[in-house]
Amino acid sequence: MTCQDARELLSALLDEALPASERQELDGHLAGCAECRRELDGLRETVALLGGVPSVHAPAGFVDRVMAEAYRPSWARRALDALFRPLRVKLPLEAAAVLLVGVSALYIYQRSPEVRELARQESRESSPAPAVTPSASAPPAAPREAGEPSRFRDLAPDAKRAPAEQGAAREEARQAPPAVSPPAPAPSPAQRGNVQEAPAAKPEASPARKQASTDSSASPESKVKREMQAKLEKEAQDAGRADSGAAPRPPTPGKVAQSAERSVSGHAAGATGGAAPSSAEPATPPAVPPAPASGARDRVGAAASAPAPPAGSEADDLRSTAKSSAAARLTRAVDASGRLAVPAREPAEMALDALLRRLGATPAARRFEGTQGMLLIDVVVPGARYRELLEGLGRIGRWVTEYEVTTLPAQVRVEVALIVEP
Amino acid sequence: MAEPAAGDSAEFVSRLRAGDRRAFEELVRTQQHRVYGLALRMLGNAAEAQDVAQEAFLRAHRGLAEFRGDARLSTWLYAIVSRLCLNRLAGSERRLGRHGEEALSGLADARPGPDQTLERGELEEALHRAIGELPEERRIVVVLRDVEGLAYEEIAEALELPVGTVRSRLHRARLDLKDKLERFFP
Repeated sequence: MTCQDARELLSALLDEALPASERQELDGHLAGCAECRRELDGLRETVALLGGVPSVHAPAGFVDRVMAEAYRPSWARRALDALFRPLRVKLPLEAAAVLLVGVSALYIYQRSPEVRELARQESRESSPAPAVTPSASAPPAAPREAGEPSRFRDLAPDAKRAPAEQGAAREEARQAPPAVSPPAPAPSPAQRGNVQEAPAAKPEASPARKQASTDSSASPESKVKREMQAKLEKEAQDAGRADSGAAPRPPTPGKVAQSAERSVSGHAAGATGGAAPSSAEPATPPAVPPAPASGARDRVGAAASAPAPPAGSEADDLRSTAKSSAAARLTRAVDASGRLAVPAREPAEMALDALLRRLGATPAARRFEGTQGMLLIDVVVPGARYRELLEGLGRIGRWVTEYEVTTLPAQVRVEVALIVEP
Repeated sequence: MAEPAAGDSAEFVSRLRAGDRRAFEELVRTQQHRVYGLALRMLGNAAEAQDVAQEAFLRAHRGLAEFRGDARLSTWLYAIVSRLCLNRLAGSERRLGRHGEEALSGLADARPGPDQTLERGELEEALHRAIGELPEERRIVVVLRDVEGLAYEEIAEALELPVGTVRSRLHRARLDLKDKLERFFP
């Protein structure tokens, strides 16, 4: 064993980590080598010095710091805690908030038929909104219309018959129009007792009505219709009489234009008992009861034909019930609606008029909708005869019910969209 | 100089591995000085040493489930803190072996207070300077063996080195130290 080999083993010797054979050999070398013994002594001293190095203590609070860090909740846990802890307090509060929001949304939706109405309307119409303003600011129409309701109520058997069957809400709706007259002080058309105020408005209104009757006679219908009626105004009286006799029969398609006029005027004539000048505005009087129900849509029609009686009615209605417009519209919800596809409009309209008369129904305002010339006709029919109405419509054309309330009221308000499909 | 590791019983180990908070706290309490001491002697800086010692315990806490029952808990902790120290030294510009002066003054300045029992004195200063000047791989071995009192096998396990490598590194370290400390020999 050389000195170099021996020195490599000296550390292991000190640590007593040498196998017995190696240790023997090393001991033999050391016995004869003073240099290596000195080296061994030096290493032994060194190890002794190292063993005397004082122990080190971790700083105070080390354990607490380690424990706090080791058991610190994760950020996700801390975030959840911030949101939900203490569960007992925060969870019920959060649940209550969610419930409150949900119920409020439902309530608002339920109590705002105009919201639903508008939603439906806008999907159907192309230019609905601006109608409100023009009609509301159409005073000329107002006076003329003011007299209408009472006059018509006196004369129209159909309209008179209706109230008996009507529910409270429906009756309120029907009574609303009289309050519509311009001077009418009634704040709300939905209030009962407005009927009594109607006559008071009548004297003031009637002169205006006469004056306006010629040009606006057909306005509840369409401009086209109005033109035709103006042309045939002279014949109106005779036609009215003639048709009043044969009222229930729908004219044949052959005499489209003329008989259309007649059927319209005939309807009025039948109702008004041959009041000649008024025969030109036949649909209007019966329309009075339904008018409130078709409020939003009437406004559209009124915009198209400003002087129209329903428009005036609507304008006044709006004016006198500015505050309670929501309540007014509430009474105007349609109970059912649908599309009536017909090959030609005029015969269909005549047939429809005949059908309505037969059923004791009251046609309300009509107007053109959109650009396709779709004619919307509001009809109020006794609930008991609603099915007959649908059957009759099915005979006139292809009828598709688009909407129908689950429970039919005593007076069913039906919106018929007349579409010409060649 | 090897002390029996506190709470190394199978029962204690199973409590630790089950996540028993009190058991872990006991582990930290009993091992903190060993872990911190090794870090301080390797890094020469009290703040760094505390940082590394804390990180070592946190890693131990996360890795308790992986602790193999056949090793001593103290050896396992030494292994963790050794690795952390060597990594930090390897990633650091400041090498104790090459900048002994800085390291030593850092060690002296970093003394936290009365608890710090490193006694100043010529011998002490010389010892720490000498240790600090050793290359890291030798330093860790000689500290674990001659200061902390681990057996060769434990050191080999902690550093994941063959026992032969441990022995030769230890010998080189001792020879280096002997040359520097000879004047203190009797």
